[in-house]
Amino acid sequence: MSKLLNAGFVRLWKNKLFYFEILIFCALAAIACFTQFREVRDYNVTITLEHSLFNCTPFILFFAAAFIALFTGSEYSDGTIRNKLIVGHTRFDVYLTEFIVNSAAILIVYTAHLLLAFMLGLTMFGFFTIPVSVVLLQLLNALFMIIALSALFTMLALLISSKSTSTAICLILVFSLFFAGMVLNSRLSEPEMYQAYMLSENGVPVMGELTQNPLYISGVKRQVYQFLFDFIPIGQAIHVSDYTFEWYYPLYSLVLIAITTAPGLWLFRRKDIK
Amino acid sequence: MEYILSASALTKSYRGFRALDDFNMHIPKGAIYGIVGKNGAGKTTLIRLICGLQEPSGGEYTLYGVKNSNGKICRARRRVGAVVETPSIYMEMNASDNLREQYHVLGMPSFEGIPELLQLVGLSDVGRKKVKHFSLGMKQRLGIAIALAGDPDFLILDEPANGLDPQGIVEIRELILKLNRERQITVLISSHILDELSRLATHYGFIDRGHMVKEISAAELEQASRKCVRVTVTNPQSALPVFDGMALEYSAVSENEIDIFSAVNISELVLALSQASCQVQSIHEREESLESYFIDLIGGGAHE
Repeated sequence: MSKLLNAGFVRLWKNKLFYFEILIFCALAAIACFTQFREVRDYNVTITLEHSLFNCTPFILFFAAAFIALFTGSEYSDGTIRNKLIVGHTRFDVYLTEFIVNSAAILIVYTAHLLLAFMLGLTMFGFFTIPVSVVLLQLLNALFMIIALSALFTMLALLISSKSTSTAICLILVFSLFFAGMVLNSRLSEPEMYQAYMLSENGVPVMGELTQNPLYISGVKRQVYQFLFDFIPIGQAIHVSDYTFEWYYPLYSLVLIAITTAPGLWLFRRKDIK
Repeated sequence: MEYILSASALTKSYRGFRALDDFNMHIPKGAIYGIVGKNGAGKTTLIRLICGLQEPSGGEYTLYGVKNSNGKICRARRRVGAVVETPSIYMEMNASDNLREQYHVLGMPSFEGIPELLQLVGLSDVGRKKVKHFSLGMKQRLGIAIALAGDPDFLILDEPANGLDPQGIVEIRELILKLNRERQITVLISSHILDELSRLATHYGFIDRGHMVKEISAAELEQASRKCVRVTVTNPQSALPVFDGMALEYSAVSENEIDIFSAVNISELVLALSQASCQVQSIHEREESLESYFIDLIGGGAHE
């Protein structure tokens, strides 16, 4: 497999899309930092380095989907996956190589973004105001989340022989995940009770009693919503940007890696390649 | 005889359709084995199976003495190079980088052989030009260069002349002959251009509807091929009774052309035709071509 990994990384270093994604994601970091800096300057709000560092994490989903679908999809569209199998590399090795190279590529794109965000944030907002260990936990969560994302998109890109179809499916999946994440987050953020206000006879609003919020979800339904939000990569990305961490978040990512890679490998080994 | 590849009762089904059905095959070491069949006969399916791109539904094949069900088949495949249908090349890379990539895949320690390979396939002067800007013939040649990257003993070429101009076809033919003669590379080649294949192949396999109909060496084919005399006449209606009268075996091939398969005395024939008011416009000896052999074999009632 070392030969395939070597070949995969050589191809990665020559890939223009890879550098383009680094450039765009770094530009996003710069735009986010400068926007926050202007808010600090114009509206006197308090923004610290930790606020600016992980802001754009949810967008890594788009970068991962586009890159993996196109990079791995080229193996099918150019037919080069055949060169690896014809000369005796096993499908297991081919699959794992794609997974490792894709994961490394997305981690590099994300790391470049974080480094720029860190340097700009440090210059504009000073050092962290929270313990570095908390930041490191977010980094750990992001690492697992990105590997899980790569596992998901690698599976799709290797099981769908058409590059255009796999790209479309990966991007539709990302939009769906974003939408699902927003809906779940919105429902989970609903307060249990809300303060009712009434207008008095002279038109002055007065506080009423605390009222049960009908949109608040509770019980098993809430647990299911919470699990889904914590499990899907967009939920994890939002957790990273919000600095919320539970010990089981990386575990969820590991489960996602397992439930995508194991059947992905099984199906890929049986796939008829043209 | 030592066989590089042999297949026994090989079967491949796609959702109920049997692309290969009880297929048997034997490719001797050092041969240029031409596989001949109509579109959809199962040629490319066979090549995909041999290359490990697809798994057989039944039967087995043996590559360098290793059965496909044996885990060591991957090691045996390291001695194989192939171009299946279209050349497998990265369109965004240049020719040299494509070969470097394949060298990495093969784990070869140095890139010393790349200029020689490019020269061998006539691509030494393409510079840094990206492959996506290559002509089809150039891509085909680069595909062959990539297949040759690991110094294989067995080269599989699926329709290598597809899309090539006449000059390109001649160059590919000479390259294949050179590889076979100078490097002792065994070649399995499928082609629709039977005339071209007949200039190359030392052995043939005729395939129809997923079955191997016949395997034959070029020498055996030559012996089996029927020689004939093709006569062009002005009045076939009066010529045919003459042939019958002389007890000749013949076959009308066009309005004015008749092939005579029996031994014939030309002087007597011309005289007899002249007496029947039939002028002979031309007469020449010809051998049955691979094409006509194929049509006789595959196009017969048994296979229709």
